[in-house]
Amino acid sequence: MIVLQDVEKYYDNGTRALKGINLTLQDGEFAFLVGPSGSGKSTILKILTAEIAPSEGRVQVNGFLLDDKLRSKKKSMMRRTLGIVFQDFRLIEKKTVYENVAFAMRVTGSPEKEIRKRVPYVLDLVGLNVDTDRRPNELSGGEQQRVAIARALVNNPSTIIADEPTGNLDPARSLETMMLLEKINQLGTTVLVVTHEQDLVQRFAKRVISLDNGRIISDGMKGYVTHEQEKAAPAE
Amino acid sequence: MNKKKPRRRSNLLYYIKEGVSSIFRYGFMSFASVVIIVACLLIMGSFLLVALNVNDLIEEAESRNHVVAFIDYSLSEEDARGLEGRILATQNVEGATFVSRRQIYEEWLERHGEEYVAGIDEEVFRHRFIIDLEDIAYMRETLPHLRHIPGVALVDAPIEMAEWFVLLRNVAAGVFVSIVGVLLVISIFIISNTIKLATFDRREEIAIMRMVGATNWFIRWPFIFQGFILGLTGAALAFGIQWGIYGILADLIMRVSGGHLIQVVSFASIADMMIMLFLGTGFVVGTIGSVIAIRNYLKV
Repeated sequence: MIVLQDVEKYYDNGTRALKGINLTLQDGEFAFLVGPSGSGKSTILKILTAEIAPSEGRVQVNGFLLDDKLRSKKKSMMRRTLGIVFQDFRLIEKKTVYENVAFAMRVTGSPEKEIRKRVPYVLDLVGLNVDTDRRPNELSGGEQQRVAIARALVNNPSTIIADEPTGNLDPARSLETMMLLEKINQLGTTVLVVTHEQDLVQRFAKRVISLDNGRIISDGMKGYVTHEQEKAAPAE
Repeated sequence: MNKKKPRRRSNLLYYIKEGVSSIFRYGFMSFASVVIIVACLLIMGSFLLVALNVNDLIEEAESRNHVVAFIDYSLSEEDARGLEGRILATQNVEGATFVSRRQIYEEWLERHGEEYVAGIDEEVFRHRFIIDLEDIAYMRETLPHLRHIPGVALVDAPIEMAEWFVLLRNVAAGVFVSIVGVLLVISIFIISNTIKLATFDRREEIAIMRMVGATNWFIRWPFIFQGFILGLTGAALAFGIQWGIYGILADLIMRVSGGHLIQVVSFASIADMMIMLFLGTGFVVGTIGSVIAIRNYLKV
C-alpha cells in the first residue's frame, strides 16, 4: 500500500514542487498518475522510490516509512518491494535479455537455481518470444519494454511503478504494454502508471489521479482532467 | 540447515567475476595501475632497504659507543667491583663490564710491547666499568647520574658521536616516512582513478542496481575486488623485482668492499617482512582506492 499524507516538497532553488499531497493506493489497485510537465509527477516518483525525501508530510510505501532518516539498507529493502519500469527501458546493453532480467534477481542475492527457474517464467509471462541470448539493441522498442517489465516483475514486487512506459512506443505497442500492465495487476500486483497520454488513459476504466502545479486537482474514475477542465466544471 | 551459505558463495563468485572482468575491460588503465603500484612499491621498498641497512650500520656503530666510568684511585679492586650494583641500578644502563687496572695494563703491554710500557706503573691506570646504554639518545641525561655515584671519579662518553647517530637515525626515519606517505597517496589516487573510470562507464548499471534494491555493499564489492586484485598483483610483481635488484646490488657492494667495510642485510632475512609489507600495502591501496572511487555513486 502507498500512502502520502500532507506531502510537501521544496527544492534547494526554492521551487515548491508538491503542495499538500494526500493520496492512498490500496494493495491490488491500478491507477494512472497524470499531469503536464512540471506538475510534480516526477517528484512523487522520486519520493516513492526513495531517491529524495519529502520536505514535510508522511510517506509510506509497502510498510516502509520514507523520510530523510531512512537508512541505506532499509532503502534497498523497500526498493525490493517495487518494480520500476522506465520510459527509456534502461536495459544494460552489454548484457543479454536473460542476463538483464536475471541481474535484478542476482542483486537481491537470489540463488542461481531459483534465477534459472524464475527468469524464463517471467519472460513467458510478459509474452516475450525472442532468443534470450540476444542483446537489447537487437530488439524492437516493444520487445525492450517487455524485457524491462519482466525485470521489474522478476522479484515478485508488491507494486509496479511505470514511468511513461509507452513514451517511446508506437500506438499499437503502447496499447499492448498497457494491457500487459493490466494483466499484471489482475494477478494481484499494485500498478501505478505515470503518463501524459490522454488517449491511452481514456481507453482504460481505471482510477486517474491528475496533478497540476504540485497539487492533486482530481482523483477518480472520470479520466484525464486538465486544470482548465477542473476549473470549468460546475461545483458539486 | 543453513540456507545462507549458497547465497553467499554465489555472491562471492559474482563479485570476483565482475571484478576480474572489469580489470580486462579496462585493460590499459589496469595495466597502468599495476605499473604505478609496482613503481611506488619499488621506490618504497628501496627506501626501506636503504633505511634497514643504515639502521644496521648505526646499530653496529652504536654498539661500539660505550660509556666508560673510571673509578677513584683510592678504591681497591674489590671495592671497585662493588660499585657494579649501583651502576646497573642507574636508569638507561643496560649492562656494565668491570675491567681492572691489571687487565688494562696487560692490554697495553700486549698492544705496544714491553719497551713502550717500560717504566709505567700499573697504578697509573684506573679500574673502570664499560657501560652499555639502553638508548644512546639519552646519553647526556644518564651521565650525571653515573658521575654522582660515590667512587666514580670520571665518566667518559662520546656524546657528540652518539647525538650524531641519533640525528642520522631520526632524519632517515623522517625521510622514509615522508616519501612512503607521498607514494602511498599517489598510488591510491591512481588506482582510484582507474576504478572511477570503470564506475563511470557502469553508472547506468549502478543506478539500475540501486533501483532494483541492491545494497551499497553488493554494488561496492566487485569494485573492491577489482582494486585489491590490482593492488595484490602490483605487490607480488614488485616483490619479485625488488628481490632480484637487491640481490644484484648486494652482491656488487660485497664484492667491491670485499665484505669488510660494509655488511649488507641479506634479503632472505627480511623477505617475510617485505612480502607482508608489499601485499599489505597493495591490499590497502587497492581497497581504499576503490572505496573512494565508488563513494559518489552510492549517494542516491
